[in-house]
Amino acid sequence: MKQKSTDILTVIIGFAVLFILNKTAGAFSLNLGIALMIAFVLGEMLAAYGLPRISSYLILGIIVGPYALEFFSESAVKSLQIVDSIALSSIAFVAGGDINFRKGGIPFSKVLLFVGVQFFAGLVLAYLIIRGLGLFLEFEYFAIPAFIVFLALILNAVSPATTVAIIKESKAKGKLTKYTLSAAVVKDFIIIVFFSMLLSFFAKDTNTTSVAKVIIEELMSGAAGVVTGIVVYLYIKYVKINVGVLLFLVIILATWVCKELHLNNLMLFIVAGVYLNNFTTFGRQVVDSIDSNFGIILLVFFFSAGMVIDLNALYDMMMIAVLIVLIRVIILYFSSYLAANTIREDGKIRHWSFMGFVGQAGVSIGFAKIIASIFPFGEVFQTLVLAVVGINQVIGPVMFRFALKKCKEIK
Amino acid sequence: MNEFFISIFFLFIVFIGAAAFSAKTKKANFSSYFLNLEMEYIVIGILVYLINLKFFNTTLQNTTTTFIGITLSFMGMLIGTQFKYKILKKIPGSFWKYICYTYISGFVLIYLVFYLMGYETPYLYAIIINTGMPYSLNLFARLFRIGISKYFNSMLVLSIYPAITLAHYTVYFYISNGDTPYRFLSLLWLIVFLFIIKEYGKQQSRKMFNTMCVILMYTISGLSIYLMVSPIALGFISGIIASNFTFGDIFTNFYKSFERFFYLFIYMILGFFVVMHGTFLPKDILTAFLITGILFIMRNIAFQRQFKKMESNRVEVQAITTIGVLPGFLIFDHLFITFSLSSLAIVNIFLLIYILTEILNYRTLINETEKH
Repeated sequence: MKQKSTDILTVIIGFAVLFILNKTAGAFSLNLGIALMIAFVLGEMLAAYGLPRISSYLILGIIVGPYALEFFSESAVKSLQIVDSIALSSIAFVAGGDINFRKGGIPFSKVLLFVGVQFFAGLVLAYLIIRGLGLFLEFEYFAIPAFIVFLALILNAVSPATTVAIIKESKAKGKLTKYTLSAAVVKDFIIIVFFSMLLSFFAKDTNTTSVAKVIIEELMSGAAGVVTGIVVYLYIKYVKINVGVLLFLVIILATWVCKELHLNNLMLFIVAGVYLNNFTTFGRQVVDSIDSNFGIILLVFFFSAGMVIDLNALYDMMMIAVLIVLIRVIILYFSSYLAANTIREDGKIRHWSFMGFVGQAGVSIGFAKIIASIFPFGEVFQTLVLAVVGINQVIGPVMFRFALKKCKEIK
Repeated sequence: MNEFFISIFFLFIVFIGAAAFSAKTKKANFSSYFLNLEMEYIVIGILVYLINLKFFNTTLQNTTTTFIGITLSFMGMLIGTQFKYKILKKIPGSFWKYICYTYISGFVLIYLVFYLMGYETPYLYAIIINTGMPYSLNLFARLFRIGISKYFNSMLVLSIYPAITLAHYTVYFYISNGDTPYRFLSLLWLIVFLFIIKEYGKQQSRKMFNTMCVILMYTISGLSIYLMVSPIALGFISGIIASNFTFGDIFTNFYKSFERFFYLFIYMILGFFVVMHGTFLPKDILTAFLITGILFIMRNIAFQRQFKKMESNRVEVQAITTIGVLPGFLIFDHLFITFSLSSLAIVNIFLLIYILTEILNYRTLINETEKH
């Protein structure tokens, strides 16, 4: 009881301070520190009621962000981007380090088949349903093929970071955990490649990203991941001292390299983690080194992810966005069921795995921004996707946690 | 691209090189001792600064300012958290007497040197230079495989010195400025934050504390930037308070785990300062030699009888001349808060004293260890 009143008092004092400091010059770091403190306390408070901590971080990010209470301006949020990327790299490193294709893990071929079936089934279903909706709804954009195809693709996009966050936060272990983690990572890669293919098909005349370029970038990110993994491996094997500092430096440096060379830091660190966990004996050590500070990484990442959720977009497209979210959940259920059936997995995977793919974040927003800059319908498309992603990012963690609990993979 | 990433890039290369080197070369000789002090990072700092100046010419960015604030408040916290009231109470009076004698006499004489040599703020400079750190004693014991019991008293004295220096620096900072009441507001804020963390932390797990430590560090750094208060001083005060909480050891352990990274970073920053300041006058060299002499005499010769009183049954080595890297942090802190380049005037003096005192300390350790 005393703890609860302290928590409430902390949140109230925190908000009061943020209100007082609102728009004061030079108070950005202080504001951020206080906001993180509130988010952390709120996360712990609501975790007692079953809400994943990352959902609380997200919600608080939305509340204090530039689209609600405006304690942080859009430019301030932008200045956090590099910290955000570093946090994402850390999450990806841990995700990769937890993926085990060796003995005791799920074979890569099985994961690939699962993802392949789920993705194609999901894509076809989404296309058909949206096309069908266009016949009944007075929403002219559902008659535009490019709009439908891109939306169908984005509805299949997932957020590996959210998946890892929930797994780590709830200390989940089991078959569902392994499937969703590996599948989310592989699906992310497939969707990026497909997006570039569709883009080069529908936007031939514009000077946009080519398929080959995207594939090369992804492959280069993967290769850079292997190199990063080898550097870490050699260091741990031969030098041994100050591994924590090395990892810290590697994460910052590689994230920066990715930004400069337009590589995918998510891919780079996942591959580095997979390499260390599957080809060396140091995967666990790396994960444990990062794990001790994983709480703050998740806090920063999801708090800032919340700040970019566009409430205006959500407000503008509320009804249609809710409808799309519902359809997406249904599509995910059927596609996951079909995929699990194809690889002959049990009921656990057939019925509950879809909940691990509901969360959406950076990749989907990134795609929407590209579409907005190219197509005439881009603005509407972006608004719709931002609204859908906003809802999914809030309900995704809750649903995944629920599924893990149902499958008894968390205590 | 900004100077932060350029720094990280170089730091990464040198870190791997130096770590590989120090992992393989643990020899009982002077060169190994000197190289393991890791002063090569200063050279890296110089290189980064020059490269940045030549090719990028970037200015301080928001993220960099925050990172500097974090580095400095971290250092204050790191030192602060090592002082638990319960432990300090156990230290015998003879230790405190010895520390007071050496600290006060050293401070007065160093102040006089700076004053007589015509430096701008001799009092501040004397606070900055008159300190100590146990790093090189640990290093010596490791390289020469000698039990720490031989240097226990020296180690203890050198471990307490940074706290005395920071306490002195904090008091100086709070009373030497015109807008003191405004700055005292930061203490009020600090108390509120620490109260929350204390109350909140009572029922939390160790892992939760890790997150809270980072939030606290970030908030304190933000507070110092907002109110233009010394991050080291704020960090030091909060470190002392936090270490006396029920789970104070968690704070101490957490900050210790990142100690290494921040040490390397400050070496690089010192490299920046060396180039920024540029000149190294004969007056500076003379000052450095004079102060080194004072430190050696006051800490190793003048109060030997008092030192003997601290020994119980065994004879111990008295080697506390070294000043460590703390002055680098204080110079940085002063520059960060005041935006005045006045503290850079002693960068080169500090580095020369640092090298000279390390050499002297090494010689003392070798001679005394052989004797005993």
